[in-house]
Amino acid sequence: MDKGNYQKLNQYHVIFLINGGIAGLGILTLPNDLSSMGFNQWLVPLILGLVANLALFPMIKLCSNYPKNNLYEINEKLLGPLLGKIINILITGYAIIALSRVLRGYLTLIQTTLLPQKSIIGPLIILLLLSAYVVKGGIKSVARFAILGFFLTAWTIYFSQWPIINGDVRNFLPLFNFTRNDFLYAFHRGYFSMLGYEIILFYFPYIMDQKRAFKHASIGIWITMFLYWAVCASSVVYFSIWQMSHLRYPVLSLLKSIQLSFVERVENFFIALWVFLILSTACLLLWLAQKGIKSILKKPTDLSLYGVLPIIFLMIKGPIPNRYEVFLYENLTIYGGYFLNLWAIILLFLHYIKQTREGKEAA
Amino acid sequence: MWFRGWINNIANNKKTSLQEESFNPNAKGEVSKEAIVAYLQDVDDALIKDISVGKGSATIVYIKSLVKMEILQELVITPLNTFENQDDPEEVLKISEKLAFDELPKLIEGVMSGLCIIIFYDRKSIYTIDTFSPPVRNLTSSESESTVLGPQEAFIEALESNFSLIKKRIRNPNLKTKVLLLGTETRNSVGVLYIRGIANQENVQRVLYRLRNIEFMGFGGTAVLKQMLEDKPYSPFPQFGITQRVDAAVSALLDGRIVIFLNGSPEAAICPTSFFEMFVSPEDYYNRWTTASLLRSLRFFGFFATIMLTPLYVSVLTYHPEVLPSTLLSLLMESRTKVPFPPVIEVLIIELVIEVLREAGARMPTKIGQTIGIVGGIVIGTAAVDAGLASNILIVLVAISALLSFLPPNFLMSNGSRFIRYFFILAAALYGFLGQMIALAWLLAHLANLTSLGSPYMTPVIPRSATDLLDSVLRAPINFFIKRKGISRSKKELTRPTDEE
Repeated sequence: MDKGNYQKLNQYHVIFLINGGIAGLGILTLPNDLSSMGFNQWLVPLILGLVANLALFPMIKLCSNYPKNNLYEINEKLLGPLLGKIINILITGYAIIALSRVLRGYLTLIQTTLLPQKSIIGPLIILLLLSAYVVKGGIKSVARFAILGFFLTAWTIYFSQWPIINGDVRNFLPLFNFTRNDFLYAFHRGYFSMLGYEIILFYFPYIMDQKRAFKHASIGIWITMFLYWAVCASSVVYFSIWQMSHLRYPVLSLLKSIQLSFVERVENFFIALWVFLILSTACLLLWLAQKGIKSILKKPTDLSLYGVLPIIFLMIKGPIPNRYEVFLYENLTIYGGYFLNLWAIILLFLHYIKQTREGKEAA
Repeated sequence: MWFRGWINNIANNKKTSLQEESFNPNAKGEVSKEAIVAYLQDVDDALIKDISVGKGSATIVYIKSLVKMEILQELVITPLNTFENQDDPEEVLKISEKLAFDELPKLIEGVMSGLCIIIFYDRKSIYTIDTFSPPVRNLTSSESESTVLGPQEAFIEALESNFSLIKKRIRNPNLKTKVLLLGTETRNSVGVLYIRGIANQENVQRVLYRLRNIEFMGFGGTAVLKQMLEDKPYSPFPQFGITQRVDAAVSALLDGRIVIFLNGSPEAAICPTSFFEMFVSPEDYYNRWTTASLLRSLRFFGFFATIMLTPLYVSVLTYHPEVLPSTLLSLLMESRTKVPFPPVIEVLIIELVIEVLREAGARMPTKIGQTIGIVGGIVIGTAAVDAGLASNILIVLVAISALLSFLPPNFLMSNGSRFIRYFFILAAALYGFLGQMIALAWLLAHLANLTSLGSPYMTPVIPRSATDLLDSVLRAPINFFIKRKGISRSKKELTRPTDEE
């Protein structure tokens, strides 16, 4: 545990925290999510990246006005203690649901592919404890883990050569044969995989070089976008439109096309390796949730971290009816993400209103 | 941690206080022969004798086992014989120091550290002469860190010899040697070496602060002292380097590290040290850079191979047989046809057998050690396969991973890798590939959280300063080394001028 300076995140930490927050479960299902675009889907990651980069702008602007406060504290400052706390509770709830969604999605994948005969309760508990272990070291530990997660998984992009060799490169031609609704639907479903960069609202005060944070965060977004784009491009080349819209985890089928002489079915290994990406997202969300609980409590304690774990366990393994699950994990998370993006803009307005009012009072 | 409080509670229930019984050299006490005799009661190798000096008389006190007769003769007896009632005994005892008459505990401490003490009652003065000359082992080469090239002499169990081994290589007044007395009972000397201007002063202060705050009866060796200084004592990995080699200590000093010696222990602790440096041998710098790079990558990736190889066997056979091509799978299955255990039990048995062999070899007298190798390697290995207790392939894998675990030059890191391998085997048995990856994630998260003297122990791929990459798995040619390592946080970064000045 590093208990050094308050501002402890250097440029690489920022880049890979952004990357770790975004890349997680989404990359496995991305070609399926964007399938309404057909063969033009490789355009979507570029547009997603652009939108995310634009959305980043008001966030950094807001945070630069409060260089020592995270969003939980900014909420209470701008909205007053009561309303601020209510919003904080909502954000904490969002973090917990998003975290449950990531772990639940990954463990479902594990159960269907790697361990069909095992209960997922064990891996779930271990993953939760491991995330708690990482989060206990503070945001810097999360960032360092995200860097490791990136480098341990990013090299798999090398294997995209097999699908490209085996596929039909003509699919890649930009024909623009899609409607506006196709695009909006793909954008909406794809934005799931894009969420995660907005957590910078919460770790911004720990960044050392806050003036250049926007640049570093943008680099983080575009590194992730390049990976997304590579995945989409190789699936466009490899799959047919029907396959893309019917395969739940197209990336696994992409990996199945890899042919090596000494091992077969390497996707088994890659699914397991994916735990690094899942964990870096999960750790960041867990860090967010425990910060939220600390901001709600009157006397913040470090135990709030362990308080989150049973809630997430119950969210995933508890007796929740299926339709509520769909609502929680498919609707609430994405609209929560939109809300956080908009919330930064709303708060920025509130901030300017408050500033001009205070300016008038002073004059 | 909660159990530390629990242990303290148990200790406090027994009503003993450390302070009451231990010896405090800074207390006051009147010197008299009776008092000295009382202190040194039952210390039968102490010599307390009245002698006549010139026309007066004096008392001489020393410990026979700490003082050689020749030294005593040369430094004390011969000068005293020339003493004929001059004004001051200091005229003949030139290198002596004076003690006051109320410093009895200090006198006793001096006696116990090998000083010879002469008390002149009629002059009311006490003189101490450093006659400390215990038996010292000869300089030999290090057995645990042997290299083909390079200086062969290694540290020995005497602090002064170790200092001189370093100082004859670094003739620089900036090489500072702080000596502290540590251990509430032993009061043994601990030396802290660093080069002022190169070592980070913050690090030096931190080491001295930690050393001064240790309250413990005494240390069996540097490794014990090192564990009390380390940032995370619960971790299975060493956070400070430890070496017996002089060249390793010298290059660490030149890089801005701090070297800690304990008198009576032939090892030096080097701090701060990074995870990667546990895999670096001084011989890497004597080899050509190509060979050194090859060997370093073997050692570094060997660490990950040794903790992954046998777990891979377990998880492939238990959960994912489909990853193997059919030829390899049939080979594996044929060799396992007679084995009556699940893979994890089989692996655990053979791993434990290897560990038992290693431990037996280490504890046994050297002459029997070779026999053990033959018994273990041939008899147990072949017989186990013939009896159907283990598969051929497993024996190969276990042997390879055992060999790989001995690659790190740091003995503690090599032990650590063998310990955590069992966790990987169990994780593989529980959840296959996923278990292995979770265990690896846990290992990396743990390593990323460790610190060595407050500096991060491991950098996650991106180095602390870009020049560190030139001395990492790739060992660049020597003229590429222009900066000290990032982990030293040295104020003087450059090791040579970079332009023509």
